Amino acid sequence: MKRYYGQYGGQFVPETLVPALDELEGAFIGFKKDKECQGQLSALLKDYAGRPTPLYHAERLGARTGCRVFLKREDLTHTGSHKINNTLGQIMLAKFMGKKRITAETGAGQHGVATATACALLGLECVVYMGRTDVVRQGVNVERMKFLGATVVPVDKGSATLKSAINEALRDWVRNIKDTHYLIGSVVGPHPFPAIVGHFQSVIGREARSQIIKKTKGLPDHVVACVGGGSNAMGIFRGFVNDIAVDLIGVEAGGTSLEMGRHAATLTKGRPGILHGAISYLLQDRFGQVADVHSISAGLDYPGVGPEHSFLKDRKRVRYDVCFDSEALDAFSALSRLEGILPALESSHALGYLINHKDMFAGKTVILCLSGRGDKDMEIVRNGGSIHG
Amino acid sequence: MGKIGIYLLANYPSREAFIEAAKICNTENVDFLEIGFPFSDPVADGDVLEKACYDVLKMYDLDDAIRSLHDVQRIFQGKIYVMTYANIVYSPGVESFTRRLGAISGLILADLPLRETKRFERALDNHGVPVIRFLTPQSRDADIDRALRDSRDFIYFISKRDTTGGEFSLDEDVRTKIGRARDKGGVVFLGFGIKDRKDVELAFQYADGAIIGTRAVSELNRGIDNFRNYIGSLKK
Repeated sequence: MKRYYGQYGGQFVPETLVPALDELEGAFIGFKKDKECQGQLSALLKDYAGRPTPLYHAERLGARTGCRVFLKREDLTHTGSHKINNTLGQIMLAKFMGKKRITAETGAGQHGVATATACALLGLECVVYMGRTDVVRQGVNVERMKFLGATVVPVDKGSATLKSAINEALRDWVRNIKDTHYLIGSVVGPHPFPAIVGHFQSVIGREARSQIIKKTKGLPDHVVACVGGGSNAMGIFRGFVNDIAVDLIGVEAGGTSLEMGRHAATLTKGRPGILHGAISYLLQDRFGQVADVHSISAGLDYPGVGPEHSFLKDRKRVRYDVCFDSEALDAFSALSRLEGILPALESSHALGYLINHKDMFAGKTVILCLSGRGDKDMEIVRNGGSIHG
Repeated sequence: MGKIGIYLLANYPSREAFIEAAKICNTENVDFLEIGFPFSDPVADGDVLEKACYDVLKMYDLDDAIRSLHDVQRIFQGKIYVMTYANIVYSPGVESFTRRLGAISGLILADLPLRETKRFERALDNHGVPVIRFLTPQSRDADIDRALRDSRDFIYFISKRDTTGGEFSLDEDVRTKIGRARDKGGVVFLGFGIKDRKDVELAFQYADGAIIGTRAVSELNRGIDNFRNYIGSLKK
């Protein structure tokens, strides 16, 4: 497998981790060829996670935005977000490798819950690192993880958000390299993680492509998804990246403004740098210190992004733009009232972008990846967007 | 007799204490210094050095670190290496960053494994600055052989599967790997977890040198006299 997407990617990790990354790459290649494993994973995705997820024609949202909108309903999967696609895949891979213990990071808690769920299913020990800020703002998910038998370790260091959680998960992996698999939750990290997570999430795009062709006898004009690390976006983009006529749009967290420190719009405002094992766009100061970031959505509150997104940006295959906190909150309310669907605040960024760019989408067919459900965000939304209530 | 290297985080716990510590290392005949440049996300470091990074970044930036490095270059007679993380070098441009450092004996980048060193080495060749290579308890024979090929300075052997700090020990497997590296002509310095004279002696039995980081930084944080006594104790 190639370590790089153009100039992005690589394996910028302490030397101690390199043999483990090699082992993982070898196992992933073997896993994909193993018919029994693939059969078990397909069965789990269908009977346990509830795939395929529907592609829902959101007519009232479409009337509001002047276009034909289809929502890819990842919010309807077991555990309520697309994260389960990756955790089921990686947990099978970890079992294939004979690992006994799983460590993971989480931001919004959706990946943590999906990991804890997969570990419960296969009886593996599960340790989830979560920034203290996120523990506070996504308390329901912390409780869910604990009920599922996971140990949740709050991280007080650094930014106390997703970035710090990944730092701690990486440290955990260095210390427990022999028996532990690091189940990373997005298309970030050192090779082969971006490739592995992208592969397990590509089911979203594969399904969406065949569903839209069935429903409309053609391809969509636009595919829109939110981008934090970028796993739901990569999952759905994979289905359409070779269809050159389909416009792909990644929506980043604009936070409260595009001033440094107030947003998490990595591809929009960052420049290439190295964080968490890969070269990719990065929000950083002039010295290369990683910048503070902000988003109302814990899942997007991250200064880096997956290296394949950086590649697709430079290639101009995907356009990246922003949606601000306030627009995402409005979109949350809009979808709830118009369609009876409470979207996750992450997905609300993609929705907010759609609603605020009516001219761009007028008369067009759009698929929007509804990556997760918003139950976890009740507290934040009720407080008008205040993270700490 | 092996060599002793001391790690100091630039400007920690203050610029004055850091410079004073470099003077003490010079008078106490420490063989080499590893000067740490703080990074916002030091994933290879344990709790002590991680916290030190955060603390120092609240007071000083990397321009300050480079100024203090230049002061230390006037004070300290032995070799000086700069240790940091890849992005600190990559972000401003490998060559332009290195040019600002002046004469150093090598760059140690905690998240730069051997297979990613090439682009850094190419850019640094003009300055005659080598990139220090790592070996670890996880290294396979092929890794050891590759690390030794064209190696231009010491090999940094990380003594354990862990972040910086903690306890020092050398199991049989690790001793064998160090032996293989030295048999191939490598100069091997051990680091991670080395704290006192006893640990240094153990390191010297198997390797060419020992690097002390976490404990040295902790001792300096307790006061300059404390640090002086500590450095003195390492050679007795």
